[in-house]
Amino acid sequence: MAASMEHEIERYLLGDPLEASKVIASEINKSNAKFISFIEGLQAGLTNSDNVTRGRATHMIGDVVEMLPPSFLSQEQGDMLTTFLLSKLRDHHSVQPHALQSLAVLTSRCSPLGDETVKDICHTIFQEVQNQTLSHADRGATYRVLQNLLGASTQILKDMGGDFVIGFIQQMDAEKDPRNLLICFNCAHFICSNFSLGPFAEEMFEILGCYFPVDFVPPPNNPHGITKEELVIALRKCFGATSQFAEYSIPLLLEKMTSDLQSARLDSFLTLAECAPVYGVKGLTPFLGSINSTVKREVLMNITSALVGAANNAITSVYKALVQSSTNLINLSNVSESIVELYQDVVKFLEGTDLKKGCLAFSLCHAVANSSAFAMGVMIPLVLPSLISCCQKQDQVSEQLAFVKELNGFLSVIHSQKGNTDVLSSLQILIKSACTVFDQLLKSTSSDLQLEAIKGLSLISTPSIAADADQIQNFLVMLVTKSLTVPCSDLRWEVLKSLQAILEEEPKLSEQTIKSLVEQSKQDNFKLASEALVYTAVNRDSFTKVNNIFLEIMSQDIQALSENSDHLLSCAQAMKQLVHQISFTEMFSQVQASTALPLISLSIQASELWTKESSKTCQALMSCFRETFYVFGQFMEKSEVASFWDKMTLLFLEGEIENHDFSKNLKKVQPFQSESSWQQTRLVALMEGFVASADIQALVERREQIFEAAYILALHSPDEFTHLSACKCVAALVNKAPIGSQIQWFLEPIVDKLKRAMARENTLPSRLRAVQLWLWLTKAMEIRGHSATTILSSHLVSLLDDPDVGSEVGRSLSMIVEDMDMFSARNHSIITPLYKQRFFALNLKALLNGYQNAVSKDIKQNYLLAMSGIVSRLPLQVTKPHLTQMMPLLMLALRDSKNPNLGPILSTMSMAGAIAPQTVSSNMDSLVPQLLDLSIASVDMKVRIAALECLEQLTGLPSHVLVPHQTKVVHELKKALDDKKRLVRRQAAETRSSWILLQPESKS
Amino acid sequence: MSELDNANPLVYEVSKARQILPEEEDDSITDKFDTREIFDLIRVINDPEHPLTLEELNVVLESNVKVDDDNNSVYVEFVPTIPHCSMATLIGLSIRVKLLRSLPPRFKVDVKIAPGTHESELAVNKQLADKERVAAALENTHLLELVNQCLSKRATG
Repeated sequence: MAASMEHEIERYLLGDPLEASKVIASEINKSNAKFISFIEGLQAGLTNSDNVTRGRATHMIGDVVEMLPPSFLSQEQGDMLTTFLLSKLRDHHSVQPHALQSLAVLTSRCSPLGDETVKDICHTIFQEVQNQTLSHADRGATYRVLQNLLGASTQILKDMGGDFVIGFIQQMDAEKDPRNLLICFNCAHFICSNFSLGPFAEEMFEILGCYFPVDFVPPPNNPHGITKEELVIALRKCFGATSQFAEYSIPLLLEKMTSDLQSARLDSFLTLAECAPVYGVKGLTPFLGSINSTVKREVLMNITSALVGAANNAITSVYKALVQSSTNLINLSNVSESIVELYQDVVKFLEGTDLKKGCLAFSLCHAVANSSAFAMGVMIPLVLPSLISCCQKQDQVSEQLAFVKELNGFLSVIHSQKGNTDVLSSLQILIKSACTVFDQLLKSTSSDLQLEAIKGLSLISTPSIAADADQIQNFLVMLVTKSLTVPCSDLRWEVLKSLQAILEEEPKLSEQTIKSLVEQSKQDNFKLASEALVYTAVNRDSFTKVNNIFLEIMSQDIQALSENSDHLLSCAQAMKQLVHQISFTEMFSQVQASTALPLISLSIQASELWTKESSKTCQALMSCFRETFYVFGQFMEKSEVASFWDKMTLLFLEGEIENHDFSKNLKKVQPFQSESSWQQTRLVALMEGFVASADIQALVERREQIFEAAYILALHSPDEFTHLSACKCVAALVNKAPIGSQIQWFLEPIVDKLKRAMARENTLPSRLRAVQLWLWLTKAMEIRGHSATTILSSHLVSLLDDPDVGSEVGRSLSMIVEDMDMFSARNHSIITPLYKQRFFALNLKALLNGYQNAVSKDIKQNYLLAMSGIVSRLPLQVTKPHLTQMMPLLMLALRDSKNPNLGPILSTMSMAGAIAPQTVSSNMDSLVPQLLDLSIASVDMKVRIAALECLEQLTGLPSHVLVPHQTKVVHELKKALDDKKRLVRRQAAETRSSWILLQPESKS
Repeated sequence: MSELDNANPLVYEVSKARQILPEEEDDSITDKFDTREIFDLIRVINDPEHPLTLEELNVVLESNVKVDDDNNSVYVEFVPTIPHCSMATLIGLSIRVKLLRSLPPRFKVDVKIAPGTHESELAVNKQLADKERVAAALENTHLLELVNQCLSKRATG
């Protein structure tokens, strides 16, 4: 071994350091060789008279130790080696860096070292190493040694006291490499926050302060990965490491806050905000006046919102720190004096005529008030009277709005201190007068002002702030009235939110609110009242009440079906909202018993009452319930899902009512029998809602039966609504079915059966039903990206050639690439990303070929339909590479006035103008006349508008393409200006104007 | 434009976008031209002096617009922000051009200054009513550019 050790050492010294040290370290680690023999082997190198060889040998110690496991060397060995390396520091100046590097490794690998050794290291480094003369890597080694020691032997260094601090300062002095600075800043932060700096605080700050503000710009590509932000944050931490820095750092920060550089000012405010809590009252008080005036200056200058925000933040943080660290009343009275001074400084703006400055000054006062309850107590009585008078004085809506927003800012401060009754009691009069302001605003015609007024009132209408219960009561009454009169808008949303917030604070008021709303709902504004009722469900009691009210109303409405279907439907909508509202709360656990089962009972009762005339209402109600069932599936606990599934499946498959919490007097239903009446089969929509949304893991029992039943129903039910529902049921189950052989197992027989059902000898309606089901199956499989999906989709494309069902397939094929709520992560669906793109890429060729080879015009039309549907529903980035190929086909599709996809194709075209201008430009000659024709002659106003919009979008193309058509377009569009529909005329005026305005741009 | 006529004008609130009624989406019903429709066309015109619209400066009001669809006439009065506003003619011209471009040719368009709101009311009204002078003004490329600036969509907002 000895021979090979010598050989490896030789190799290292001659120039292959990495390999050689690896070999030696692994030998030592495997105990094939001893560490001591390695050192002995090095003897020749270490004592060589050539400086270079000696240096390399010294370096080798570090390299080998680095590859040994941590703590491989004993403390004794470590101490010994350290002593040796320290002596090497005194060797020739070219050996010193190698010794430093090895020391850096040693201090990180052998810890702890002996106390004396640690002290020795520090003393020797401080004495022998002139850090400023070394290269950046070697300087880094020095810092690493110190950093390692700080981590491992903190106490010993602490005992060294000032010696260590001054030593560190000397070593760090004049460092300018950002890599080293990061280490230095970390060490400095550690030292300042853990060591007593004694007389060296000023020196310490001086070497740190000279880096502020950091203006480092990383080199291109940033090879070392150091960013300006890292340095800024590290330095900011140092500033805030000890309160001793306050007297040095605040003057520096104040100076930089008046710098011309915005970034320096921003950094200063951010730093002050972070340091203030550490500096405390003692550090901050001497500079309070200057801080006030500097922040005031910045806020009123209003350069950028970021600067104003940072300045306001800084002042908040300063006053927060002042109040928190004030230990006696004298301090607090100083703070309040300073707040008053600040207020007096800005008072002329508060009462002045300049709206912008006034608002900025208020925002500054707001920042101070926001800092603590004490500051709020001082500031708010000073400011609020003038703010309130500002709100009252203004008669222009925009200015009033600006002031009211500020007022609401102050009120939210009061709201945040609602537990602090001492301070609040002194503010009662002000709060009262704010109420008067709001009462006036509520009478204004501007909905924005009303909105702010309601926001403000709901902030102060909580029991702890509003002294008298009457005020809350009155506000609540006002909200109830508003909720019944204001139709949909932001204002309504705010009203309802406030209503909810107040009832959450004061649940005992909800009973009477519900009562008055129910009272109101009997008059003609039932829709608004029921919507408002949803927001009164703030706890279990009120939820149960509202829930039962809705159920009762619906049950009555169903009995009197022919009279008022709108009433029934808006109640069902409100029920859906109610369920959605509580889905995130603990109240949802009772929803199965309180809502889900009663809704099923209700639907079954209704199924006996539907007539031919009320068939539409039945569809609408069932669709609404289906969406409610989505919520059940999405939010129920797994065990709840399982038990609800149990009850539902038994009811749907076997008509079992008795043992399951449904109301007793129900008749037996068989919704899955295709022979049943449509009134019964439409109940499948409920099943669909639940299956589509619930987690399949919980739907275990009778899943296959449900699948079979839904599948048969989808094939045979003559009722359109039922058929679609059943198709979706099947699709949801297929999409969610657990991965594995199961899918194949139920897919294969289905595919065979479906193919037979689609065969020519069957009647057209039943063939069409089979096609629909096939489409849904394909959709479900495409979304989950199943490997079998190509069989399904290629068969679909081939069906386009069928003279009977081809047009249906053409119309519906685009459904596969459409986004649907039904398939979403919330509904626990399995979704592969980019499935649409995959479908498009795999089937494009077949579609294009099919079009070329189609035998008749009708068949060609089917392909055009399918293609235009798919293309207009896909993101344009996907279709862009094929756009040149497809453009002629799309133009052909535009000629077909019966194509249902005209609108989508037109919007695709408008986007294409922006994304692929080249392709669109080359087709302008045929596109422009086509669009003009559509915008004047099309029967559908939506198409006319879309064509006009497309024409407008085209003006983004280069002018040499547009100018040849300009005269014609401007002339032809005169006809569109006299369209019988106003919306078309509006778009026509815009489009024409942008075509007219082309000219000056093309000239310049 | 070295000096502004009215350096600090009052800014008024903008009316909300017109609510679309169900009848307007029904293809079988014919919508007549009404005052709001005309007002919507001219309220977005930019003021030549300020980055504000005529509506924000209260130069045009819906109540000052009269339209008679059956007799093919549109009548608009506007109120200059101050009585000696030198831009009154340009504003009037912009309103006129906007309406000419956006209304079917069957309409006769009259644009006038509201009585008693401008010092040289008569002169401006005469200029605006003179078809040939309007046509000649639009031949002037410099003037046309100014008008187009007023009519172009604002870059911000």
